[in-house]
Amino acid sequence: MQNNDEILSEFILEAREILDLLDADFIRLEQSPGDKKLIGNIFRALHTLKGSSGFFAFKRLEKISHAGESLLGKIRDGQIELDPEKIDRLLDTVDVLRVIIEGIEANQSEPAGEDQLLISQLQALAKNEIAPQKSELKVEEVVESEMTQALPIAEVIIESIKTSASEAPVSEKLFDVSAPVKVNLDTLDRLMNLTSEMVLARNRLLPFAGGSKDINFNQTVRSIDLLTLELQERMMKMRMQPISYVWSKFSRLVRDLSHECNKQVNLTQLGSETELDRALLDAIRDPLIHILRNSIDHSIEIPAERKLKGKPEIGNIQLMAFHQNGMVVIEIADDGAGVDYEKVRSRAIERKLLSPQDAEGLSKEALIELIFLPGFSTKEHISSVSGRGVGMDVVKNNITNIGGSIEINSEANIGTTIKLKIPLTLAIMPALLVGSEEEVYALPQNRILELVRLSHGDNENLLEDFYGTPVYRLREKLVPVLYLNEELKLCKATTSHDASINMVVVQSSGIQFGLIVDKIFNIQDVVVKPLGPLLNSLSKYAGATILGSGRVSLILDVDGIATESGLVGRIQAKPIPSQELAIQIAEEEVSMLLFELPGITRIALPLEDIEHILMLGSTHFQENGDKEVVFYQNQLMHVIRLQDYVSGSHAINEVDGSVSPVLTCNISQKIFALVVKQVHDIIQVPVKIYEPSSPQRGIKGCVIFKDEVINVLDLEEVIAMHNAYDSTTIYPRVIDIQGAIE
Amino acid sequence: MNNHYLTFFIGKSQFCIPAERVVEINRNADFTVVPGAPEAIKGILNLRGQLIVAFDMSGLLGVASEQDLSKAVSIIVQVDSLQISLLVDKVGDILALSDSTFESPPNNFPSHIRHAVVGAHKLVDSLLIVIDPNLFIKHLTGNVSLPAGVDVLPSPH
Repeated sequence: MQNNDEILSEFILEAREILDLLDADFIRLEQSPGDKKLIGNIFRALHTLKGSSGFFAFKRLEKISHAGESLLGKIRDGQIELDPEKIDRLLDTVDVLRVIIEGIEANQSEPAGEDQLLISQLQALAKNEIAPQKSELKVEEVVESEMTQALPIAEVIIESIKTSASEAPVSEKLFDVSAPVKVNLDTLDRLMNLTSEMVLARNRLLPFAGGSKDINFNQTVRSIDLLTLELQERMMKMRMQPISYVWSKFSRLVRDLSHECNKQVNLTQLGSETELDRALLDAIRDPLIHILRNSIDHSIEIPAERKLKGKPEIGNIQLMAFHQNGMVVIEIADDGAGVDYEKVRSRAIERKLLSPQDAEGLSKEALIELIFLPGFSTKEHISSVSGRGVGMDVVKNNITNIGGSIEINSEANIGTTIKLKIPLTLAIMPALLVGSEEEVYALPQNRILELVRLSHGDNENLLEDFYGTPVYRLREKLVPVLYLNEELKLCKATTSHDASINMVVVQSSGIQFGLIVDKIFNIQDVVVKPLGPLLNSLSKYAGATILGSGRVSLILDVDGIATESGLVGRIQAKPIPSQELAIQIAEEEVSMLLFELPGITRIALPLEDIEHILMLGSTHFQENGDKEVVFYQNQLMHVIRLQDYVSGSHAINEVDGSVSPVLTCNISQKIFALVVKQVHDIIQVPVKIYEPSSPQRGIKGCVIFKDEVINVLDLEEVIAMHNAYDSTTIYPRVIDIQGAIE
Repeated sequence: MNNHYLTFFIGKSQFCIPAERVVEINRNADFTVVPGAPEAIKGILNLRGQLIVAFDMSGLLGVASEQDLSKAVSIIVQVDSLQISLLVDKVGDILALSDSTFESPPNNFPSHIRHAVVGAHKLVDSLLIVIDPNLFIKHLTGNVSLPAGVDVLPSPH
């Protein structure tokens, strides 16, 4: 019942907002009757109201808003015209709706009343007929006639207005809905920042109190301490919301999806009251939807198949959320077919991600990791629901981005359980402070498995040498070991002969490894701050935090360190064959090589046109008649100095002995070497090329990359121009650019 | 028209930045080194709870500093929505200089300095170099090295 009350009060708040909005919109509509967008807005607002009242079985609300909505629908579609009279009727509708809402707020049920007249008026207007009693009556008279003609409708309305106005003083309302203030997340974040600064300032203040004999001062500090503590706690609470905020929409989603797939699925939700930071809730919505889609489409079998397997025909999906070790765990379990490991294995071999030999030896856990690779799907047919292979990698990214982790457990024919571990809040997390070379770093606690201290007394060789790579025997299991100071390049390899070694055993993408640090301090809650655009590209850090001393300390990104050291990601690092990747992204994006020409700092060429990038010195270039050629690794290449062919670029005098980057491309069995000034980067840009307003020599058009305009080289035209002077040309002697391109 | 510039020193050399970019000046900047960061970035410091990236102006401008970095003065400047700190030896005066004395760098100007220097004002007895933090921020954020996976090595087969 408690829950229902909450939903009801939410509904009342929403309804009130809608009505306020409607009032304002109708007034604006009167001033600009032709505004289609406005009509659309009003229509949607009424529609929402109708939908929610249907949910609560508020019949009066539903009927009235339905009538209003149909009238608006016709106006929106241009079937009938809006006139002042219609606006008046619609405003009346809003008033009646408001009276009903107030009634609901007072009694939690719809006040009794008859709205047939209003509804029939609205319906008549919608049919473009003359509304009952309309012609000779003005607005006021309508109200009057409603009252005097002893029609029960109007009286009830007026009565209910009276009751709500006079008989229901605020204190007597069964439950009072006070509108919460909507604060945007940014403001909250700033408050949060200030609060954490406050906590730090308090920390600096505390030692003074300890050292002082002044009782008044000590008391003041004590109260500041307590106030700060409460402030911090309240701040944290302020951002929390129950997970049902996201889950509530899932029942409908599961119902629709299972219909689409001709399956029967029953969704149960446990622990929907578990609270989570609002920003995190938004971040997990899409991954959860994705996992549900996968479960319904891939895992749960069709009823007939389930019957054959001896399972109940209705499949089950269970969503469960609970707190564990300062994290929120969300489990999505289904009783479907589970992951077909053999299929994953064969698919991996098929896509040349693994050699058959390697694939044979892979454990179930390692095979599951493959599912997280971009573009990986075992589904033969792409359905509208899932199977496009764009998915689990995105899910994993989204989850790790917010500091969470994902685990999949799957048994054939028993089902799949996906476990998401999400930190309680984004802004504050517990971290272990470690020291390396006089600097303090923070390691996120959720990645730490254990701390190991090795001293020489226990064992002669603390770390073993695995053919050059240090490893440690942790309960008879070898874990690779990294030195933090070496990974951060603070100093060269340290084969330390200290009395003891401090090692933090951490986990990244299913791999455990030991991270050796100089000192281990303590675990404390740190406020995570992003490093900002200048340092974002450093993958070894997850951000930074400010310690009690006011000093900045970097937060280490365990995944980043593991990847950069080469421990993780050998499989991931192996690119998916480029032609397959191209198919995947061909629809919206294309890879281009960004380079520089004298005078043009940013020009690009589709990557597929380029075979290699070479660095050639000026001595490589040789004369062949009036052309330059390069003989390189048994191949003759025709040199094209792009600056001679592209508008906006100018020739520069080449210094002897300089080395220039050269892009080679193979066009109709001839290899061309394009000399450029500098090669910058590979970029992903939309396929759409904007044509230049007037034709530019050598430039096909431009693409937009990060809001910057980048010229795209017209390779065909350049080569056509180059060949035009060539005696062995396949192009006509007179340059017909248009013809050459086609 | 006169523009205001804040002058600062690195060693004996004097430079200036447009004064309207300057947010505040701090002494005893206690910064944390970021291993792996671009060379010009000395570290990050805490400005009342905000993380600020600190640039080593002596390294960026190629002028030897005459004092320990721990004694450096931090000039906080605003570049678009970003605040950064420039670590310099000493802060000088604020000068009002006319546009007419401004001169862009000559064409043979070394390219690495171009990422910091916009030009100079002709003072009576010397040239006052004008630094634009915008330039090296742009240079730093726009300059991405070639990612792995591109076949840079010659192997035309």
